[in-house]
Amino acid sequence: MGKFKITVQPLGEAFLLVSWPAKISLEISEELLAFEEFIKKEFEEFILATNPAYATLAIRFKQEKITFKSLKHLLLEAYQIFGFNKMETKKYWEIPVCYDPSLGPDLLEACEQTSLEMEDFIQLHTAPFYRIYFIGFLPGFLYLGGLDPKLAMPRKATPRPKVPKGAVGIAGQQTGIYPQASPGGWQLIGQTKVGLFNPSQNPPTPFQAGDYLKFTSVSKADFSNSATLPILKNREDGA
Amino acid sequence: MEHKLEFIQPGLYTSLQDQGRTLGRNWGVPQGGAMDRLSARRANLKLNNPPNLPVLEITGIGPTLRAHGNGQLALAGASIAVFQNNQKLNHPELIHFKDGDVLKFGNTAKGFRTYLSIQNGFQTKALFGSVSPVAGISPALRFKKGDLLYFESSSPLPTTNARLKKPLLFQDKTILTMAGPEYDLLSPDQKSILKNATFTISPTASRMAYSLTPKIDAFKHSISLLTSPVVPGVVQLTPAGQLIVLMRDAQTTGGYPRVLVVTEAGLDRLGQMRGGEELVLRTS
Repeated sequence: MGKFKITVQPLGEAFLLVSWPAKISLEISEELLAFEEFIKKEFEEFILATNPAYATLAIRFKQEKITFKSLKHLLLEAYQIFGFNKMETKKYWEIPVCYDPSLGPDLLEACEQTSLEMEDFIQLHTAPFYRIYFIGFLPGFLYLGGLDPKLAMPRKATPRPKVPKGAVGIAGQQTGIYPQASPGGWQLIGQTKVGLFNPSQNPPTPFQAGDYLKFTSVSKADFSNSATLPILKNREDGA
Repeated sequence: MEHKLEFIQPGLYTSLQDQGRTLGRNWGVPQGGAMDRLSARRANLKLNNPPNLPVLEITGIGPTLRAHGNGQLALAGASIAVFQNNQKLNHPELIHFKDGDVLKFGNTAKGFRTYLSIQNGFQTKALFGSVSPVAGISPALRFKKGDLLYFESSSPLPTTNARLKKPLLFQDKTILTMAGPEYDLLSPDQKSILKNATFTISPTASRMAYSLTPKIDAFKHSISLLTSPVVPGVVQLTPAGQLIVLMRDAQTTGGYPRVLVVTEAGLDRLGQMRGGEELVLRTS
């Protein structure tokens, strides 16, 4: 039986939204992802696709096979009986990042704002294994959790018209990587050569919600030869 | 010989579209697909094609195409004038063309988007189950001058589907919606304004989103949501009091309150509206 009070609402005619208490929480995220797996198998004949966020799960259902009301009923019932063990399938990844003011144009300012020496700033950013809560917004964009609160800082007052692909940044309590060049307001502290999204591969991203990811620092001299694919680590190296 | 259409002029915004993708949302890939999916299906049905075959979505100003090979086209959606080798066609809904023909499309009217299907379909490449181009991933979002679009050679026998002769009119200004997940965060006063106000589509309207004006002071808020899934049709309310309707190429997650969700029929209708047009939102 699920541990939380969940609600099921329509999200237009073709989707429904399952909501957990609105928090960024490991416990909620783990249960949500396990529930997603469970219902995808259990109600395969009714479900076209699912996509998770921090504490909500969107389900695109087969309108020709089932009504919103019936599926809502099935899901709430399933939540009462479902149980899960901690998922063993999660992966641990490493991504090399060059933290250098020439590649992270806001790095010096970010150190100043946080009153940290650059070395300490980099140490704090490369220390944790960040949880990949979900992928969304843009193709391959990872929503990461676990940023050291000392590194939290507001977005830039004026967004840049173009942030390069692979830029590593901080916005509020979040840290992330731009999967493609786009406008953006994040404070840019470094750059990676690792590609996050490859449309010619299926799946196009090696990452899955529930995986963990760690940044490692590479020097500017080594940056041009640094990895373009994320490095899969052993579980024992993980958090 | 290879059959193809050559873009002599691309028009304002011409792209290949189908009914959109079901895969890919959990990788952040937008759904895509025709802005007016019903008209895209109708264009295919006029040629007895399967309804989900890719069609050309012509927006505002039509392209000029040169045919390399013979074939048959059908149109649905907004009205558009068509000149075949400089001769205006009286009934452009079905067009037989021959190798070397030049087809010039005018401006769309009575609607914003015209859908062009071809007998047996175009030869195209899908990305996660749809040909709909994806920003930052696909080589281009729309056709440019000189592009070539290949099609399957068609049988010499014309096929038509008489049942679909009557065009859709696109006159209704009412967009049907359902309550969104955050609808009940609105006060009774705000709900009443939402129901009764007339909004204007801002000129920035795109395949990603239609912003509605005016901003409404009574809608200002400071609600910040945890990032959560959004789908085409979601009507977001920004802290400044502006409504934004997410369209087919919308991002997959967002953080603004989702006060309404436009129905499938409402989205099709919106796809036939352009910047400057007025609308009313009705909740079923």
